[in-house]
Amino acid sequence: MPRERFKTLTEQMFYLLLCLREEYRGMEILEKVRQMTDGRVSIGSGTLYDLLEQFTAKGWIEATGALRGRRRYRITEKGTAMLAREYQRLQQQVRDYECYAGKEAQP
Amino acid sequence: MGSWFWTFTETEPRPLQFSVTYFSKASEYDSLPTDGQQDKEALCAQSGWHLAARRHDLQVFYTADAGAPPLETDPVVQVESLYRAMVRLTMRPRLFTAALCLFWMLLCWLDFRKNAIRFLSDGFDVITLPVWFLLLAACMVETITCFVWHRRAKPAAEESGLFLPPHIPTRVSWVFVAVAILLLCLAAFGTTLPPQWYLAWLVICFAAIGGGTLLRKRLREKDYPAGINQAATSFLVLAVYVVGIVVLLAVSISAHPGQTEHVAAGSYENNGRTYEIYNDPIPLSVSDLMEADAVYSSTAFADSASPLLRQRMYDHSPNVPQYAGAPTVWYTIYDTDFDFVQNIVVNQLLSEHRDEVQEDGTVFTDSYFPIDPTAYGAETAYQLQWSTTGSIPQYLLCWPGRVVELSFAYLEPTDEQLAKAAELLAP
Repeated sequence: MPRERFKTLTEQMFYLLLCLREEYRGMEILEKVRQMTDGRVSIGSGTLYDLLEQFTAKGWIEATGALRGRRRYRITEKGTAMLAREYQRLQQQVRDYECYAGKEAQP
Repeated sequence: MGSWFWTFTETEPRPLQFSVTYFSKASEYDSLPTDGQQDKEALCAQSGWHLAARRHDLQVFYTADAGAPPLETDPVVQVESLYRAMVRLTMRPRLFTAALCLFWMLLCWLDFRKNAIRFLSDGFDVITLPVWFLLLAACMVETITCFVWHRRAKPAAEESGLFLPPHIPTRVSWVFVAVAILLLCLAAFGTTLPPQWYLAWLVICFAAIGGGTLLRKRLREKDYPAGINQAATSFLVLAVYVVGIVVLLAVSISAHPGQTEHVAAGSYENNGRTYEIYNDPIPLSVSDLMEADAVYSSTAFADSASPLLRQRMYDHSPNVPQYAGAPTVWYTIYDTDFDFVQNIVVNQLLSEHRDEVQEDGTVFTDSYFPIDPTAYGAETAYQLQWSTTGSIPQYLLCWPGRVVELSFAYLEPTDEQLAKAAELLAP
C-alpha cells in the first residue's frame, strides 16, 4: 500500500526535521544531516530546496530572515508533532521486529 | 533556452556532470528568475552545482566536482516535484484544450442532431470533425501518460526508493497534431469556401497566438505579476479570436461564400419588386416532361458537398404573374458513396413529415408512403400524402448512392412523366 503524501516520512525528511530542532541555514542543514548520520544519509541541494518549500507550506518548519541563501529554518510545533508521530511509528516497527524476529536475529 | 530553440555557447572541454530539475512554481508568465528559483540556484551553487540554463519550470545545473552529491537524493520528493510541474504545465493546459475540443464536438453533435443532412454535406464540418478527435487524442495521450507515470512512480519511490523516469510520448502527440493540420489543409481545398476565407482564418490565428506571445514576453520583461500577465494575455488572445470570428462571419454572410455563382439572364418586375431570371443548366425541367408555353427560370441553387455527401438543389419555375399557375418542378439531389449516410438522409427526409394533431382533435396526416419503385428503376420510392387532400405530387426516389426529393406544382405527373423524370435524375 503506497504511503499517503507525508503521512509517513522518508529518511531524509525525518533527519531534516530532526536537525531543525535548532535553527540552520540551507547549507548548514546538509552538513548537519551528514554529521548526524556519520555520512550515511546525505540530502542533495535540489531535494533540500523542495523539502524546505513543502515543509514550510505545510507549516512544519518556518523560515526566518529574507536574504537569499541566508534564510534560516527551524521546526514548528506542528513539525515537532509530526516528528514525534514518526518516532512512535518507528518504535512500533522496532517492537514488532523484536517480537516476531528479534530473538533469532540478535547478533 | 527559448520557447522553441536551445542556443549552445562554446566552452572549454572539461568533464562535467549535468542534472535537470523541475521548478513547479515558475510558469511562462513569471518574470524569470523568480525569487524561489534564485533561492534554489543559490542553495545549489553553495553545494557545487551551478546553473547552466533555465526555462520556466526547467533548470539545468552542472558541476565540475566529480564527488559532488547528486542534486536529487530522495525519489519520493523528486516524483512529487516533477508531478506538480507536470500538473501545472502539461496536464492542466492539455485538459483545458481537451475540454474545448469536447465542447466543439458537442456543438457538432447538436448540429448533426438538428439537421444531419446540412451537417454531412458541409465539407468544413465533416473534414474538421476528425481534427477535434485528433487534438483531443493528442492532449489526452500526454495527460494520461503523466497520470499513469505518477501512479507507478510514486509507489516505486516510496517502497523501493527508485525513481522511474517518465517517458512522455510527445512525438505521438505531434503526429496527431500534424495529421490534424493536414486535415485542415484538406478542408481548405475540399470545400466550396474560397481560399481567402482560410487565409483570413490563418491571419486571425497568427494574430492571436503571436500577439499573445509578444504581450506575455513584454509584461514578463516589465516584471508584471504572473496573474496579471496571464489575465492580460488570455484577454488579448480571446479578444482577437472573437473580433476576428465576428468580422469573418459578417464578411462571409454578406459575400455568401460557398454558394454557386450564377449570372442572371434577365429580370422582370412584379408588385414593385424586381425578380431575376436564371438560365442555369439543370438536369430536369418542365419542358422535359411536357410542352410548356410559359417563360421559365432555371435555377441551380447552392451546391454543398463534403467527402460524405453532396447536396444540390434545382428549381424550374415560371415567371409570375404572367405565367402564374404554369407547371413547376423543383428537386434536391443527394449523392453519397456511403450506405449509412444514405440511410441518414432518407430517414431525415421521411421524418421531416410528421402527423399533427389539430385543435379539434383530428389528426392531420403528413407522411411519405411507399410506392412501387420498379417503374422508376429505383430501390425504394415514396409519395407524400396528406389526410386533407390525399396524394401530393412530391416524391422521394432512392437509388444506390443517390436520393432525390422531387416536387411538382400545378402538375399531377402521369406515370410516364414520373418515369421520365426518374430517368433524367437517376445516377
